[in-house]
Amino acid sequence: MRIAVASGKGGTGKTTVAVNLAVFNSIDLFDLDVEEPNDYIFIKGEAEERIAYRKVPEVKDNCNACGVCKDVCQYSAIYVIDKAYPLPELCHSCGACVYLCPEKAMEEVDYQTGKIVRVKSDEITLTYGELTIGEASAVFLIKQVKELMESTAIIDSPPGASCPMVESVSDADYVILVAEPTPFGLHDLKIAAEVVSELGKKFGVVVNKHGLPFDGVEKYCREEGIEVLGKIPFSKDIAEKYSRGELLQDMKDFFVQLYEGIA
Amino acid sequence: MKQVAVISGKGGTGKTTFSATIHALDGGVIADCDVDAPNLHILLNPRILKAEDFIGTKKAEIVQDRCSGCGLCYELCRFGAISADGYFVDEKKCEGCAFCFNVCPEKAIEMRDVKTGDIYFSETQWGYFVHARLKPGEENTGRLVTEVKNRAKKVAEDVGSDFLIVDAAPGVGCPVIASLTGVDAAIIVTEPTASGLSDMMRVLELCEHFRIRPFVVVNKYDLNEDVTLKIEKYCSENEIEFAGRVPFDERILEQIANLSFPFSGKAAEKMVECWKKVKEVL
Repeated sequence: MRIAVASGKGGTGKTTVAVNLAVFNSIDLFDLDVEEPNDYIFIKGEAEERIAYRKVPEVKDNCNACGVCKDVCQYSAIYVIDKAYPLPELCHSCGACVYLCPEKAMEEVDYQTGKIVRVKSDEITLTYGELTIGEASAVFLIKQVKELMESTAIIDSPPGASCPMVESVSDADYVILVAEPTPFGLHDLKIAAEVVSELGKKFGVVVNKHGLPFDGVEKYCREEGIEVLGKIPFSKDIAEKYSRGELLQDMKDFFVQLYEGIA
Repeated sequence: MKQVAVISGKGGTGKTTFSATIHALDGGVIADCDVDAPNLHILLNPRILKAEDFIGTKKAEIVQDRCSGCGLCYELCRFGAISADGYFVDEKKCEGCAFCFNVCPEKAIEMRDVKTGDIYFSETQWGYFVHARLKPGEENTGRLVTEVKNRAKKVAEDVGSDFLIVDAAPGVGCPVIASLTGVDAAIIVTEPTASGLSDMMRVLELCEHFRIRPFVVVNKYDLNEDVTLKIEKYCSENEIEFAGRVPFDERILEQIANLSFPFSGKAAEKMVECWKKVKEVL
């Protein structure tokens, strides 16, 4: 079973849940928050990395500046003066310009979108992507990291509710939405719940920082019939452990039960 | 008029709290550019003056009467958006690249405008506020951010505001890049955790890539003073302007829970100090 850990709002505790859930149940972990991967801070071991590429057009000498490529590109990623000049950072790698060039003056070449790192700790393997700074879209890299995923995995998703988050949860069998009990947390939980429901995913909620003076998240879950899978207390001790990059050894049972409750 | 983006890399470090606090202090114009999980409106309680549709993208649609079932679109689509089973487009996967539209021998594919969000122009108790909401699960957040920012910039110029504050999304991808385009400075709100530090370094790299002047604020600095010192040291060694530390303040959590805004207490006071420091230098 693949379990994705997601949230609309950032900083609600996705990484905490994903890392501890993976380690204490000995399941391989995939950090798909490629813009800001953090799981590696908690999983120590020998690392192996490789460059990840996507395809972008390159212009050959026979370009006659006819401008077809510029006209078909929907992303303003090509400008034409004396010849065509592609802008790889804006390119979506759709391949239309190369295919439609009447002079066959374009070819696709590899362009670095990031790197993929595998870390083998004593307990599990962590696989994560790290997006090259300046790349706009995380989706190409997320897709490549996902190709390494087996049928059992814990997935740490990026925050938000747009394409990178959708891509990250799309192959999961179950989604844990981590929410913090604040008006912000509630607002973004509703958005995230809308996305995963629309994708037809089964999901439940883990309340992190439980004990904050706001009951709106639990009330919402009750009203909507969303299962609250567990609550992690608001505690300085947990926050400090997180700040140092440590696992929550004291809460091992909690994470074992959390997994058993879902699987 | 100066444009200042509030960014963080890592989510949940206090961008929105910081942005809202300086808006309540100085008024002027503020934009919420975290369009897929916007939160600023929760604190600013705006009165919406105008709402507009955001036509974020075009998506392919196959006109079944004209489709001969040749399968070329299916073969060429890089995004797996065309199903071979009867040939139809999965809207969620379509990136709007129009490759299929351009190659279909039967001209059976049309590109249709799709509304993917709303843009709001609002008034707050302190000034003006431009914000948006992306339809959950949609793409092209960068373009929506650009629309929000351009509108906010125009309002700021029209009303003669000294500053435009841009509250950005977490991460380093397209919505953040769009938020940073053309700003005069970025305030990076970070937290003293190993993750906060790692993410801060990546947004600093992003600022350097786009030649944006960064300022660093450490929120909840007393959570781990060792990491706070590390952040300060990193800033001084790399000639990055350090705008200040903000203490952890439990009262601000209560105020968020009760939505009693503007915030008061030591954290809010320190945020104001940090902002004044940035303002002075700009």
